[in-house]
Amino acid sequence: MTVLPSRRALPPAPTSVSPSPISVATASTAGPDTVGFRSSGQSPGELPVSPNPRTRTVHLIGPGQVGRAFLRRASALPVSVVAISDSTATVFDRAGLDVEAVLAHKAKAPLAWWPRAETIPTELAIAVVGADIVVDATPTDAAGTPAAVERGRAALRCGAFLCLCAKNALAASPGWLLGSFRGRVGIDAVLGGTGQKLVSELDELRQHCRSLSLVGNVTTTVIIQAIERGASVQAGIEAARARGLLEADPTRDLDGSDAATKLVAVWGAVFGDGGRPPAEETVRREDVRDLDAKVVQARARRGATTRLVARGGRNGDDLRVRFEELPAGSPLAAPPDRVVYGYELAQGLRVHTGLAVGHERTAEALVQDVVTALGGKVVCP
Amino acid sequence: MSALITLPVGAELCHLPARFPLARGGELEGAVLAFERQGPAHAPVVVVLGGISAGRHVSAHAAVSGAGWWQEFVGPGLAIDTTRYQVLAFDWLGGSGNSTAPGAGEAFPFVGTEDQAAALRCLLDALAIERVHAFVGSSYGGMVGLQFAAIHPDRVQRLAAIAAPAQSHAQASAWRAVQRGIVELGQRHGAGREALALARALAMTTYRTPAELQLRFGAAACFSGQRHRFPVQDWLEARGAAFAGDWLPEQFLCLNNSIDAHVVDASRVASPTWLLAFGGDQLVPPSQVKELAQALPQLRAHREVASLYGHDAFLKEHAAVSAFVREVLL
Repeated sequence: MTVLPSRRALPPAPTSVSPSPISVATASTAGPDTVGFRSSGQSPGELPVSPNPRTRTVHLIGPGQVGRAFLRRASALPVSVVAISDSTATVFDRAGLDVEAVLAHKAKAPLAWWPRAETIPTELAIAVVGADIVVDATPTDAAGTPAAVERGRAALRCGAFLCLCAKNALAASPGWLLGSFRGRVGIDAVLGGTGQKLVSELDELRQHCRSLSLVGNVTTTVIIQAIERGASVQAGIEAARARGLLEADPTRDLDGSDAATKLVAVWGAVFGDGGRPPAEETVRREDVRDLDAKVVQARARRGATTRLVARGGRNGDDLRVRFEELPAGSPLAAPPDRVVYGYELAQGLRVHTGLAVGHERTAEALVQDVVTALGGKVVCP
Repeated sequence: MSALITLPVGAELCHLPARFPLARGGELEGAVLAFERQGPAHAPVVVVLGGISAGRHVSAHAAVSGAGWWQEFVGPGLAIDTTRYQVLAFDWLGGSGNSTAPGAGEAFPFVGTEDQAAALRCLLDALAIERVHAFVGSSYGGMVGLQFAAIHPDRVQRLAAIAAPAQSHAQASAWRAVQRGIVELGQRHGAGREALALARALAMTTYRTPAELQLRFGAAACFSGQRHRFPVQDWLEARGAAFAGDWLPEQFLCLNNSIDAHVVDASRVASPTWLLAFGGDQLVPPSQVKELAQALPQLRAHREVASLYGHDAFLKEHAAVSAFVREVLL
């Protein structure tokens, strides 16, 4: 077996990371040539074999709409998808998965029904697969935050580059994700395509940023646009649903929770200083269903607009999400196809705009993070 | 990744379409246009655009106190009276302002005057301005004005094109080609900023007239350490250094190239148009403006003013330029 010994030199684990519960030697329950979990002879510090020593391996978690869109794009990257996990199981082949076959199966049944699928916790699967890049494309789910955090920890402990899609892991743990592990975490998709900009400017922003203002929930912007054109609030919500922007349970978009999560995530990244960010529950927020359509339409007639703006200052005790009137020339008056994150500096408002809206664009942002991972890795001789 | 966009107080931002197509191929993704307005909110709109180094801040006003690039022409009671007109100006795409532009070491698609005109159309749409009262453009701004009036004649009531041709003159393109060569040479050798300062110094000599330079800097050289130091050198170096402090080489190349590639079909400029040329302008010779005048279907006036300042007369000839602008806005 060939191993790549240079890869497992991890940065010091942050103190908040608990010791690994993973016992690699006990993980494999199938033949090494089929399911291919790491053999007991391989230490946790070793990298599993890639089909080509220069080809990086990818483990996708969450083959939903974003995950599938990512996989379509990944076929053009110099990577080998070696594992796919859903909430029921992990399918793994160290020689590279037949992604189309797995997706065809997934369209009809959970991965647990795949022959030789491993029905072990995903964070354990991450460790035993040991891919170079872990792409976590699971949707944001408040109830799933602890699991999302554990998956992230598992990936980083294993030395992988972690590409995040959901917001909850970042919101819960921005300090360590963008602290010791900053160079190994991609958050472009989390922040609508602005994550790479944030990471690249993070030192400056941590030092000089005074406050945050962001319009990060596109669903709400689409609803507002419909209202401005004469629709009722309910009709606006239906317009967003017709564009495929609402989840089956749209509560988080409608009640401001999604925007609050993003605010907490970015606040933690910029102002958190490694500590715990404010609890999302403490963020004051407004519900789009409480909007007065007439007020929104009157603003539009005056040449202004309305946006769901999330704001927070450095002290963290005034985080809020509310509908605000904005002049047409406001940098926060983002069109419905993008998000805007503003960072107030002494010389003005640093503006990051992102287009990672919808499944396809979010997948593109994940690809961008994977490209970063590829560029940042030591290529094995 | 584009250059950082940090929007100062008083500046506004227009989000261009997610994929902003460029006239000669390519697109800008998620691009923004920084702009500034002054004057009464519902007053007739006058678009004011200048050379490549001019931007959205035309003159001091209540929201932004610093002097602007056309301070003597725009303000209460001045040629463009901001008690009567709302002045709208923006930072060029690709330039050194706060609109989308190349970052250091970054490749950037070609941006032409057609694209600047398209960006302006998006800005007017965003502000729900159907038609501007006037478009007053000087130098590169005049080129964009001609382009805008050719593409959207229904959206501009009157166009004032100052020191602006339908196409760059070969002599001017030759000078600019050398400037780009200097910058590109510098970039290849890790001295992009120094090269940019040198290119700008060369450009300064083309903005002014030989007579002005002789008048200001005709004194004898100092001779020290076996080298001559000519009075004009201090001025050139100071101008070059100031420019290189504000611009990236990539941004300079973008707009410098844009000027040279400018071409507009004058017969399509269907808005009423006033032209102003300057005697002594080496970059846009009066003969070129005369040709343009002859091709315009809606020419209202063609003025020519002799000036010691050459191309930069649009910044320096306060009385003559003010009179011209007042005539246009009447």
